[in-house]
Amino acid sequence: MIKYFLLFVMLFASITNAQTFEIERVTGNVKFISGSDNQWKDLTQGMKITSNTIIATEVNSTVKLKVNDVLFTLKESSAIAVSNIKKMNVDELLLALAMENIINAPRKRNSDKSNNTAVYGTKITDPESIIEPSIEFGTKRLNGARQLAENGMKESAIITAMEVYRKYPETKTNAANRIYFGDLLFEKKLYEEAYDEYNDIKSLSLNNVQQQHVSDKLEEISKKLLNR
Amino acid sequence: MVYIVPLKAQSSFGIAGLWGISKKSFTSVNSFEFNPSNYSVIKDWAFSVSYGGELSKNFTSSLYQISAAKTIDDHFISLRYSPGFQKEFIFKSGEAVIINNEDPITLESRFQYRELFGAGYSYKLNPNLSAGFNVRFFEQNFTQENVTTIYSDTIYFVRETETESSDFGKADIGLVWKAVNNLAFSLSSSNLLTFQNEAANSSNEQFKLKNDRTALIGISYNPVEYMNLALIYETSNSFQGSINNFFNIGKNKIGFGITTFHDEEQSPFFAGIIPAAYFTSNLFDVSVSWLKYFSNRTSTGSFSDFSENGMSSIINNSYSFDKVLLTVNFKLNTKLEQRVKFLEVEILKNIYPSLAERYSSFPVAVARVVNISDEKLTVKPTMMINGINENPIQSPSVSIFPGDTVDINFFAIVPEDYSKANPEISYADFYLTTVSDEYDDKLQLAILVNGKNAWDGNVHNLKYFIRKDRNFTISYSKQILSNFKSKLDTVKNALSFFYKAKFIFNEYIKNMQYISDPRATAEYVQYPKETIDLKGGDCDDLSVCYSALLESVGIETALVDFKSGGDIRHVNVMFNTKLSPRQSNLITENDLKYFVRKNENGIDELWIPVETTTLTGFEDAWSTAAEKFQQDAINNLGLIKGDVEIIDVY
Repeated sequence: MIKYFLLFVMLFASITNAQTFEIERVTGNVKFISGSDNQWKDLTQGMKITSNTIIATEVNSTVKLKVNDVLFTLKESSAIAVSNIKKMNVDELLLALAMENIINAPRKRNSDKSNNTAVYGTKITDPESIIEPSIEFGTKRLNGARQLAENGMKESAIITAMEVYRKYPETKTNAANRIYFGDLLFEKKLYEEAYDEYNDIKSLSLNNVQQQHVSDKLEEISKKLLNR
Repeated sequence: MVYIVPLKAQSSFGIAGLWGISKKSFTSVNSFEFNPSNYSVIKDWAFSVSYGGELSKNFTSSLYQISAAKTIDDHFISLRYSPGFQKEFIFKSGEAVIINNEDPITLESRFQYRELFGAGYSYKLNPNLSAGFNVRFFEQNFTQENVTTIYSDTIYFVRETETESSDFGKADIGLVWKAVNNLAFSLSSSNLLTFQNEAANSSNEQFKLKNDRTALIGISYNPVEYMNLALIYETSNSFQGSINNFFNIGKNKIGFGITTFHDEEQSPFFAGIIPAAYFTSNLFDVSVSWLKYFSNRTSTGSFSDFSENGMSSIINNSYSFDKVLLTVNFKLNTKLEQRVKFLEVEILKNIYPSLAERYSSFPVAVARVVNISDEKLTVKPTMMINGINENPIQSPSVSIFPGDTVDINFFAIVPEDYSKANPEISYADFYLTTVSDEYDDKLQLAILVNGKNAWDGNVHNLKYFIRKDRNFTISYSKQILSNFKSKLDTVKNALSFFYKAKFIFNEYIKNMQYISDPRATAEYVQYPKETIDLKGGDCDDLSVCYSALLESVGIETALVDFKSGGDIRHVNVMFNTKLSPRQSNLITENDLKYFVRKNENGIDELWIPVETTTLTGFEDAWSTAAEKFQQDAINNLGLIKGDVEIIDVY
């Protein structure tokens, strides 16, 4: 019990510590959108932003952020929610993955919920309202997630990827990214989660190398799970 | 010279056999002999009659006893009239006289003993301990014929009959203790208190009924449900034992038993046996028993033996004959026999009239109930809350097997128009009913009925406030939307819900202000109409009202319960835009401002949080709520840690 209590205290402390991110350097076209905004603004050197901010870089653009004494550089054609730039441990990652599973589960229909289509039946399939650029932005967000991993924040990278898949479902069809983050799960020895992910990836259109990689990983995980 | 031999006869002898102390046993209402404590399992009234015959040289039959018994709560009273409990001895003196040249007349002595009636009373001190007493009255008649010489002018002889009656009474006490369900012990007296008249003729003293004091110790054991073993030992060194076994035939039972006994006054060691067969039903019992002595019984004997041994027991002595006895008991229940009873009732929650809709699905109390009958029962539980219900409300029936204990849920109905604003202590009556309209058991408990606006603090239950005032909220929302009809006609179809929610919010918050709850024992939540009429409320009130307004125009809503603040919790609203993630840019380029939820079909939909206490406009309320949700629910993992909960209203 005490162990769990301490775990939660540590978790709580690590996540909720008031974090202020300072923009050390900006190159090229970098924009940001804060928690209360609906539209992007230009990001400039020396600005201080809160964790509820997303920053995005265009081609040939980068931004260097500083949080406490840690520097993080977001490369070109990338986007990241600043709150995702954080160190997590495996326990925190497991909690976050569990939360993603809950969020991704279809809502249960209450038994007393109305079936009257006059109330809930409005079907919105207005083609003109489909905004394709969100796919591109989703890819940018995955790029940002990759850079988290490259900076040693692999747990945060995994969670960020999961969040991006949820908000930008089209990004789930990008096999290369899926394999990359699946490998991170494997690397963190989250074999059951990795197994599910590789199984899902198997249904995408993969090239030969990707197919072989996924098959090898599935086989390897199966052996590991059997030997547990 | 006549000697009274100090033998002590068996006094606990049951003429129809020995019956143990068991719920399953044949009803014993006529057995003061082996049941001085007057213990009984009779529920209400019982009447018993025994008719039998003595298998002597000349078969004689007679009515042995008639008895009546009545149980009143924990009291049990029985009365017995016993005309057949009698014994008469006639001795020829050997002297004869001839009077007036007629045939010689042989002089006789007659000794007649009769038990007339008895009465018993017992009281159940607790379910396992019963104590009682009985009193019995006897009559003794001693008649001797003599020839008296009369001296006058001539000497002549007169035959005279000298008769003396002597009443005899005795009282005994006893108690029965059921140590466990299938084992009972009894302890009682015999001849504890006796009284009888002094014999006018001193020579009759020796023929009076003996009244030696003894104690009876009994044990009754049921190794299996329908088998009983019983033993009664008397300190006079007599005893009797029996085994009885029942079998079910439908709802009735048949049984067989055998009793044997040892009496210090009789031989052989086991003086005889009493096999018996019986049938028992809810209304009556019938038994046929046969008393068989192992020693030869003759109808003649010597006076000297009689003089020496005296008389201890009228129905069982050295001169008793074999008997066959038919006993019938009638059982009349004028009141309902209790079949189930409450062990305890726990009120799960005080009554919140605001949750009226919930009470049809969730019990307000749970009772532990035991089936104390011998059969499987269907129990109808009902409850009535004083001041709320005019008639008992029936909860789902429950089947209970004999002897089983189950938990039974009690559901309440609270009228939706309950209007009392203040809490009050009321009483809830709980009833258990089985076979008739009369209840088997009733229990009353105090229950707190809160005022109409009271809320139990569970955010899940705010939906009951949201669902109230439906007609008002529909009318109010539609009025707002009709004011914005031209604008709504121009927006993209996909954004219909988003803009409806936005317009309703902006109109609804006009002149609205944040007002804290009044101080009260329970939390206070306003119904939507009250919030609009009062032009304000706290986060609960404002969230309930906004959610109700959106729901009334077909926009799905959820309450977001923020619990991480400890005692200070917060609630706001989230609504379904029905937009897909690919349509997110229609409302915002900031993916931190919406939340993707899968509907029941697995399709992703964008939900927008709205802080209903931010009364400066929809955009501010959305941004404030989004930031809080992102921080508390997502960044701090509140959704998995239980600090944040999304509660769908429908």
